[in-house]
Formats: sequence, C-alpha cells, structure tokens
Amino acid sequence: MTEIKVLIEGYAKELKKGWVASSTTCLITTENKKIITDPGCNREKLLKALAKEGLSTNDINYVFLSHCHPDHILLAGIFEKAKFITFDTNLMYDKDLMLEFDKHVLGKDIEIIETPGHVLEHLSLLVNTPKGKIAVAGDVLWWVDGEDQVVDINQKDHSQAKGMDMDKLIESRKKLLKMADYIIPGHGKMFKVKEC
Amino acid sequence: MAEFKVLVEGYARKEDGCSYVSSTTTLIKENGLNIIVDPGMNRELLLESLQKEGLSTKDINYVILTHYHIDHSALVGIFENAEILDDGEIYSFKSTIKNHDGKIPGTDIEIIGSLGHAMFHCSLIVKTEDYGTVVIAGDVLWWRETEEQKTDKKSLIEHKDPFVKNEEQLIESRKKIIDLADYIIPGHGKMFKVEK
Repeated sequence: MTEIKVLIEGYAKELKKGWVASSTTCLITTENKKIITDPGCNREKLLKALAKEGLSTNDINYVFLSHCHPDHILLAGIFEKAKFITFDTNLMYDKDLMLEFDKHVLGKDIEIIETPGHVLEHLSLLVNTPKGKIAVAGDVLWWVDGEDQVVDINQKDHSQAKGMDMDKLIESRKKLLKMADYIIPGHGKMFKVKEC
Repeated sequence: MAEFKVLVEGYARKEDGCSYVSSTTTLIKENGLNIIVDPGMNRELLLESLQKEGLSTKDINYVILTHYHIDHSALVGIFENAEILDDGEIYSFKSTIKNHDGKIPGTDIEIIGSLGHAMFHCSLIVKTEDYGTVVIAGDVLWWRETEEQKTDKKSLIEHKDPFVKNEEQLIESRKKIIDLADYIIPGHGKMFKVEK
C-alpha cells in the first residue's frame, strides 16, 4: 500500500524586504521505499517533522525535486543515502553517478509526470493511494499566505520566474486537475479536485 | 585580499558506460569568513577535503551556488550555519529570502551574472595576492575528462557546451570573465591561467 503524508505545508509570505517561503514537503511510503518530495529550506521544521515520524535523514531512499527553485531544494543534501530525482534534464543521481529514470522508478503506484510552465523543467508526481490519486504538484499550483485558495487554471503565477511559460503552465494545470482526485500544491493546502 | 583553495576538482567522466559528475568546489577565506562555492554531489570527497582544511560543515558562513543544476547544488544543505547566495538573492535555512547587493556580505568578492549555460547563473570575482583576479566561473566553462582543455581565447569562446540554454549569452559571459580574470576555475576541469 502506498501512503502519502504532508510533513510541512508550504508557505510563501512577502515581507517589507524579501520573502519567507518554503515548499510543501511530503513523505511517501511505497514498496519499502521512503521518498521525500521537495525538502524545502526550513531546517528546523524538516528535522522536527522527520523526528515526529520516527525517521532520521538516513532512512530516506529517494528525494524528489519538482524543480530548481531554492525554496524547494536547499535541504536535499541532508539525506545522506538518498538518490535524487530532478528536473535537471530529467536525470537521477546516485551520489555522483548520473542515471536516466523511468516514470515508474519510484514504484508502480507512483508516476513521474512532466509539468512545465512555472519553469521550463518541472516535474510532478501522481500517487495512487487507497484514498485516490494524489498529485504532488510542486509549483504548478501555489498560493501566497492569506490568499483564497481558488483553483483557476488561468491564475497568474506569483513568482514570474525566468523561464515561466503561461501557456505551458495552463496545460500542466489542466493535466493535473484531470488526472488527480487530490492535489498537494507547492505552497498552500491540499485540496480535493471538484468534478466539473 | 582573499585566499582560496580548490577543494574538489570538478569532473564529468564515463567509466564502463556510466556517467559520473560533480562540480568543482572552491573554499574562499576572506576577513575571517569561510565561503564554499558549489558544494557539488560527492559527499565523501567534500567532507574529506574540508577535514584536511581543519574545517567542519558548521564553520562555513556562506555557500554560493553558481546555478541550480544538482551536480553543483545538491550538498548545500549540509552546511547548517551557512546562508546561501545565488545570482540575485540570499537565503537562510530559516526560509528567508532577500536580495543581495552584488557582493558576498563582509567581503570584496563580487557576484556577477553569467548567463547562458542555465537560466540563472553567476560567477565570482575574487581578488587574491598570489593569483591576481581569480574568476570562479561555474559552468560558463567546463570540460569532460576526455576533452583537452584548450585555453587560448578563441578556443575558450568557441568551446562547445552540450547543455547550453542560450548560446549568445554564453559567449558574452565567456568574453566578460576572460577579460576580468588572471586565472579561471571552471565548473568541471582544471584551474588555468588566462593568456593575455
């Protein structure tokens, strides 16, 4: 059985100068593998959340990184034994060994899907759980703190990062909304996809 | 004036059909601060080389990421007390994000944009007593282990980057750093003297 748990709900808050922001981090357990998605950049929160699960950084087999933004990836390196699955021309790394990956490398219940738009190289996960299909969306969908979480495929991307492509982003949003029963956004709360 | 040492010489090599890759990691010391550039992917080599310098991961004040490809950035998370700088911003492991003013705080080390290889990319200009102006280039210049490192100006500008994102920008970035540097430290390969 494959389970997914949100360890840290991602947040993004604009300050007078700069931001305080870190991504949603999930723990997925499947076929004796433990996977962390987007470890973010808040060390204390991440270590506390792992400890609460009775896990150490050594227990994680894979770290999945949806894309290359620092608020999603800075803590990847604390997982000493993990293989990294990345946006970076879709390669997987086992220490310094570069490998190609198959969309089911994380297990038969987990599919890696390409979801460009927020940036050119962006991946999401679709996880088949007893509760339904849950998408780990990365920043295909995300909200700033205090904003109403309205799902609008045309919603402006707050970051307007280099490499953003609105047409591709809309396509990626459509894809996830069609495939998933629930969506876990890069920053914000998990939500159920409404039938339309 | 800064002192510097290449801790890990970056490589990109094939062995028995497998690709191994990790970036050059450089240690800079200036005004009592310890700075790491591009921690890379090879945990064992990095920790060994730090130890040789009498340093632990806790002693590092700043980590600079020339760009976010995982072979350069994966291990940044192990430096628990560091702040992280990229081409424009400074991050903490408490998830704060602010702009920086083009220098590593408390030093004269300049961070300059050097686009082309990746959507975001920066290089460092380090003034030293023994080597004059050293540019830590990141992947503005890099070689595979099987390639000869030709360092005349023409060869440097024309050197092929199979992962280039924007050729024109890359050439501009190369010209810029060649003009500035007495020595260049590439993202993968050996440090070399610039022929004037």
